[in-house]
Amino acid sequence: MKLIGISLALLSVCLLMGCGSGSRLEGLVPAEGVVTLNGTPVDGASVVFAPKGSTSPSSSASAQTDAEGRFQMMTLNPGDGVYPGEYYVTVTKTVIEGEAPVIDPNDKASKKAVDTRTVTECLPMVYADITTSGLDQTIAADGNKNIEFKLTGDVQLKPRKITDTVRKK
Amino acid sequence: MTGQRKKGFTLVELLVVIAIIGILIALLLPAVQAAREAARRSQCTNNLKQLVLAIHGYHDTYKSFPGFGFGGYGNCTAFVGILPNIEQKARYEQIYQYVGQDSGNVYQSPYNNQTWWHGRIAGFCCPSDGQTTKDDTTRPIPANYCFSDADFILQDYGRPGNNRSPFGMGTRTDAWGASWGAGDGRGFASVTDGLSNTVAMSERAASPGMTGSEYNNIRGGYAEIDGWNSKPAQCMAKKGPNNGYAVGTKTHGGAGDNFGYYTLNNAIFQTILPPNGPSCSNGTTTSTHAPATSFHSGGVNVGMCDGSVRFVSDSVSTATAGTQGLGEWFKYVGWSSGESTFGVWGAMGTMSGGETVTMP
Repeated sequence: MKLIGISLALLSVCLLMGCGSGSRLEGLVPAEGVVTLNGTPVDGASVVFAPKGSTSPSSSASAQTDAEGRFQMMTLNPGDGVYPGEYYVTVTKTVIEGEAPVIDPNDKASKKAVDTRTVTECLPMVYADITTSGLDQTIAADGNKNIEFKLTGDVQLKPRKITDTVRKK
Repeated sequence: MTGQRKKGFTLVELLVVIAIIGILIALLLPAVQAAREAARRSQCTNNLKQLVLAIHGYHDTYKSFPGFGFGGYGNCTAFVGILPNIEQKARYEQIYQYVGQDSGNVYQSPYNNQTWWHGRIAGFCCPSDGQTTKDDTTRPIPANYCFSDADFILQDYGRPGNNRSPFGMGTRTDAWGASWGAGDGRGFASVTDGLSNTVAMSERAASPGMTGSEYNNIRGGYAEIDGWNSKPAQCMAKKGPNNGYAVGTKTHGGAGDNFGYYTLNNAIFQTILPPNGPSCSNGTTTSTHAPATSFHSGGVNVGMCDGSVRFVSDSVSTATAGTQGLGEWFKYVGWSSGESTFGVWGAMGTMSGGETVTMP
């Protein structure tokens, strides 16, 4: 009797799980690794792969590092990997501190609220541009699970105001 | 008693019957749920088609796509312009009458407390989105649909700021009396890629009833980023498992909260990040990544400029071979032309990019 109950429960779980199918891409291979700055793992850095376009299909991919500095590249869904091919790579870590002001249309004073948040770049800016990062990666058909981005350089933590628009037309 | 059995079922027989019924229900339930979602999706598709047809009605009158107002032009979205075409003429005239007298925002005090801004317009809501199915007269009218900004990264206040998509900024001088934002003369003739190849509208999951940690969802929530320094792929990195955002990401709301007023990206999406991708903004006004999002499995409905509606999968190509695709950095700041570098999806967004792509 117990057996029937358990198998019933399993059956219904399987059936219900069958509903949640999303889109996935074919032909992706794993690309995983670790980011360090002067030997220390970097937490919360964004790793971006931009394809050189020499192979097809190609797509950019991205990931965020965990507390151990580890990342798993994602093209469409978390951790699904990248298309084999050649990539430019950038690694950045931008930290925003403070709270955004709440703007209430009913309250004219709130519209004048000052945005006091600051933005800090926590990695050398040389790694933020594909032309200067020098971190190019080639991902073979069987993937690569041991990528190491060993960043070096001094970082001057200079918070700037979030309202400072670096690039305005 | 001996040898005589009472008529009836034993416990085991009953349990077996219950088990069989249970199995049948378990088999049927997902099918019923799927059928219900299919019906909702069909209604959602129909609403979208009506809105694109309303754009056609508007174009018949004004020889232009509806536009967005900005600053002195009232901060209204293109939805306001097409209100008369979806049988909301009374609401349009209320808004017009009051905002026409005031050079300020369309949704500022005291106008934002008026009844015509509140409640729900069924035609603006996708039944698959639980946030917009309730009629709440205390909040602004939400919208699950949005206008294309093509492959341009939003700069400020969620307004379209480019020549890539059919929806531009209105000018007040000649158009105010005639229509909202019909200003810059962008009509069907501007769509040189072809009306059937160019996206007009799509969906965005809305966040009107959400608070706090509920924003940690790509449907309705935004990840906080430093807008001016964020490439699309850096926003993509904020996507976490189960349609949420990556661990430790600060999030906020704002999607589709008010159909008519475009503070923080109401009524706009881009064909840059794939459908059902993450949204990112700096939390107040500037530079936003807003992909099309929906509660349908595996994609979004997209209304093309010719009035047709198609379903576009999440896995539509967002990078063109030979380009960096999502790695691009503010490719179209300013006013530029030419092919989109964001694959099939980007090409569908542009109205005059000159791309040769096969529609998905």
